[in-house]
Amino acid sequence: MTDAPPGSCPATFANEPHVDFSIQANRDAMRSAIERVRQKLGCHCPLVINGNPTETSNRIVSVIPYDFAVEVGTTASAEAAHADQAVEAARAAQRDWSRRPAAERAERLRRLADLMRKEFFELAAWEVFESAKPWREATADVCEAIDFCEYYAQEAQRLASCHGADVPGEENRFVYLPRGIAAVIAPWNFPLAILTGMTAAALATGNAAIMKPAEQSSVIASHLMRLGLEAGIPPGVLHYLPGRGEEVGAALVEHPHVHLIAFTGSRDVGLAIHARAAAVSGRSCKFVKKVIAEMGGKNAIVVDRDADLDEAVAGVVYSAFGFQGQKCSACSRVVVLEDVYDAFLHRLTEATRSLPVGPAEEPATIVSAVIDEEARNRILEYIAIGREEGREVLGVDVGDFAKRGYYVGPHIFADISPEARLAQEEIFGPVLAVLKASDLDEAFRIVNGVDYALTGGIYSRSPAHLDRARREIEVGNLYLNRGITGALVGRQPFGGFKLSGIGSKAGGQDYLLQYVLPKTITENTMRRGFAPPE
Amino acid sequence: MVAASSPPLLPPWEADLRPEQLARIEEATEQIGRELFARFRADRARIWQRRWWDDRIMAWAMRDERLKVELFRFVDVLPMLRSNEEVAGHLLEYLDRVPDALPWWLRGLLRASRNTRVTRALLARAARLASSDFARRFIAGSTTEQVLRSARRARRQKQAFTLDILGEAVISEAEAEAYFRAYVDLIENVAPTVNQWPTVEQLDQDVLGALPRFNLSIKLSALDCHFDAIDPEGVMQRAGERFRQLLRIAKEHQAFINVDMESFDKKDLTLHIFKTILMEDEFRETADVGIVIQCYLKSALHDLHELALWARERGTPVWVRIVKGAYWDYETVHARAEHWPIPVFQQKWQSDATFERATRYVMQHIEYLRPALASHNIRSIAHGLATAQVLDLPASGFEIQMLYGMADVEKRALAERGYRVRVYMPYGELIPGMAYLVRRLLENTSNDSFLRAGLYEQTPVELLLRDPLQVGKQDGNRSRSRRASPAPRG
Ligand SMILES: Cc1cc2nc3c(=O)[nH]c(=O)nc-3n(C[C@H](O)[C@H](O)[C@H](O)COP(=O)(O)OP(=O)(O)OC[C@H]3O[C@@H](n4cnc5c(N)ncnc54)[C@H](O)[C@@H]3O)c2cc1C
Repeated sequence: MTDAPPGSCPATFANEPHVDFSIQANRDAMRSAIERVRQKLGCHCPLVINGNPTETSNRIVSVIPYDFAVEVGTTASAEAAHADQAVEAARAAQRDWSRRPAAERAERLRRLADLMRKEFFELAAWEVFESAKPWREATADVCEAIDFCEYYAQEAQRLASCHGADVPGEENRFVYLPRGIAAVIAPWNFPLAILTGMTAAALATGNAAIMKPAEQSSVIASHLMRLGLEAGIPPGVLHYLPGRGEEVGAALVEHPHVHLIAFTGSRDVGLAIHARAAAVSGRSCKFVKKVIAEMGGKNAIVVDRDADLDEAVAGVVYSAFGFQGQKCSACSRVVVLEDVYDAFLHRLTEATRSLPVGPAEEPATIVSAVIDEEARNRILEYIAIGREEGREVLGVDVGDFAKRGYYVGPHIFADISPEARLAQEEIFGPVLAVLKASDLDEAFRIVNGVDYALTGGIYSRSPAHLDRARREIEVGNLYLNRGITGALVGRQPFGGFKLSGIGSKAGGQDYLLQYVLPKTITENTMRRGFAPPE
Repeated sequence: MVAASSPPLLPPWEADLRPEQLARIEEATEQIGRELFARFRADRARIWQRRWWDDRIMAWAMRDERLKVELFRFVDVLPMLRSNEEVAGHLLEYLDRVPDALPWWLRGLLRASRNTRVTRALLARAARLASSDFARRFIAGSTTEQVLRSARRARRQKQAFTLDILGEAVISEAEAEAYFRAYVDLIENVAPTVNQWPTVEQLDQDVLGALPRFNLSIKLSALDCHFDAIDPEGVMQRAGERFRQLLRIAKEHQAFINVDMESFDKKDLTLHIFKTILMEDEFRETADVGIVIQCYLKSALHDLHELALWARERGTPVWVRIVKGAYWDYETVHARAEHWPIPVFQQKWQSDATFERATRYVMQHIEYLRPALASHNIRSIAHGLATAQVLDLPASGFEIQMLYGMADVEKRALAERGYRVRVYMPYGELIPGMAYLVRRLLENTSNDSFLRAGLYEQTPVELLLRDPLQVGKQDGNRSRSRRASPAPRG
């Protein structure tokens, strides 16, 4: 059933090209953008409701994770009343927006993509400062945001094209209606891309979107708000409500006029939203609230005995420690076949030890600080647990960096048992558990023996083993002989199942269907025995 | 930068040789090419020679592109496989994917051997033998002793050598340090021995004087586990410092160091490090160094011109190994997947023509750049010899370089004519050697390869010796059109 049909299927969507930093002009552009943005640090971003800047009594302070004495900026902090105001405005505006031709909405999104291209390096620079994303990660996130705009614009137009099943005398049409108002609750780890993706999906299909960005990345989010208005998205259908999740997030989830909640974040919050949305459906609101939730992962890579170790080590290192391991797709377990366990572990340890640690603004940096104090403490707790559950083969000391930023050095724990907490719980940091398997059956049992099913992979050069992996590894995104992060819009639609998510695929052909309600329209075209010609 | 007195150094795309010189070169190329070809084709492998079997297997693998891919994938993984069971298993798995590409007798044989332990063990043995045979053909040994024996043998046949250490990809600082140590040890332990070997006039002297006998080809990326152009300053500090040390040790032991060129993303950085360090006071007069220009790159002539300007300013010439380039498939696939502009030419004749243009340019400017022509293509080599002839460049003023295990007949023919032929000798363990081996197999069997056309397909000599520019004119109209890619960002 899971066998992919043979044959080739060429890509039809052209992704925004990643930045080639071997070209000096690109390095210079990034460097100067960082300096320009440095001058703008300390900015303040009010809420934006119906196009109006709105101040609040409380503020959220955003600091540079790798240099926490420096403020990136502050934002207003929305409360329940602001959610009401935004929803009110959105209700008034959404009707008109939904009646515009899909092509017109698509055109606004393409304009948004163009505006992002214009400010490309500056947007990336904001990510460097606010999220501690190294250059390649930061620019890739902006590329992905652009991709989402372009891709959903294209897909929404496809949905709006004619679908039907006519017979003589009867015309049958399927049309897709927007659901109404979408609350977009986004994470900080892909601060522009994921927020843009969920928002663009809502807007492309004719919904209004109320953005509730993560507290840690609200300044970057304000740029999306600004560019959205500039691109001609009506003020009533796009709102910016940074604030505390428990406060404004909860208010949006429960609001009787919010039809859809698009959420990406932790499992606990995702499940709570799901439960809450179900609980109020049919009570305070007269419809079933739709929840789209992308949650965590406990992703594994299998290293087979015949794997190309050059490739496997590099792929695991990057998947586990790129952006400090703070990706839902990150590799946090590597399951190694006995025969190559020692050789692999040795090279893995040495390669990881050599990763440059430092401020994200330095071009060489691969591992910078984690997002905030709370994250650092949580990761340090897991490191302590790891010392009890396994053998600490590497713990990189970040030295004085820790005095200025929320740094945690890369850690590797070997000989971890499949039931250990380090092998079961999502850590969301630069901590990798290494497990030994005596054969492929055991390896796949370990891989599948967690609550999550997001990404996974295998390095093997046996066609038969790769085929088994295709069938047996239970994940939403399976990668053979490459790293397991960095899914591209259109090329690797992204999302998982089990407790990783509800099974939707961001950047995939099915994604927009969640933002719409299908409607069938049947017309009897026969009048007194005669029908229009077919 | 340009000293007031020196004449302008025009870029190759603005100034070529005079038309009548070009005509004489073309004429001589044709003649030299025909002579070389006569030797080349007369010396066909015989059935009792290992080469005959290699050639058969390669010819057979080339019959079907899919079969070729599966076989090369198998060769690639083979050294990692421990048991006969695994070897036979993998081979069958790979071949099972292309059943219709196999001849009936082989299908039968495989079906028969699938079932019993003994036959599977036999199959595994046969596969191992065949592939270690290929490895031995292209890799000059697994230890220093073995490669020295190969080097000595080459010198007896009046052929010089350059050594290359095959290693795993460098992904940690410890591995970079180990690679660096291996280079150092090689120079310190082997150069003194080699320097004791009897002189071979043809190899050890050139127009300017004595040439180092010990010649090492290094990869700068092996000296740094983060050889990444995103951070040129950092790489300069790490790899650059090790390069300096190698240069010092080489000088002490009269050794030559050539910096190989790798994939496109490392090209500018490699040139930058090379030029920066060799311009430093300590190394400014070092003459026993070389670098590579890859003529499949669209930027090749531009880089060559920059190099000439730099060398002129430096005041001491450097050697330039002119090649077409070893990563054509990778560059093409990678750039297309990333939607980046493709850095390599897409028509074979363009690479060939650029190679010839680069050859003429370097031979015109030997006071700055010293030519090393690295190719197995008889047309490319003949054009180089013809140019030297027309420009009155003595045979010792340049050299021809070829890879170990390839075009041996050509090497011999050229050496006998008094040219300095240098053999590029990679050596090392089999697992890390696989990437190199697979590149060679691909090169020998690629659709556009001269060796394939000349050796396996018996293409007529006239066609093989055609001026690439003429090929371009004739093929221009029916050239494959490729999808244009967007401009690079920034
Ligand atoms: C001693 C020596 C050292 C070398 N060192 C290096 C090095 O440091 N770095 C490096 O990259 N290469 C190096 N090479 C070159 C490389 O490894 C190949 O040997 C060389 O490219 C083969 O060229 P040829 O002239 O022998 O054969 P040919 O058959 O004439 O040319 C084949 C070459 O043409 C090019 N080509 C193939 N198809 C196309 C196409 N469709 N469009 C455009 N071009 C095409 C490719 O470069 C291909 O390798 C070296 C070669 C030698 C002999």
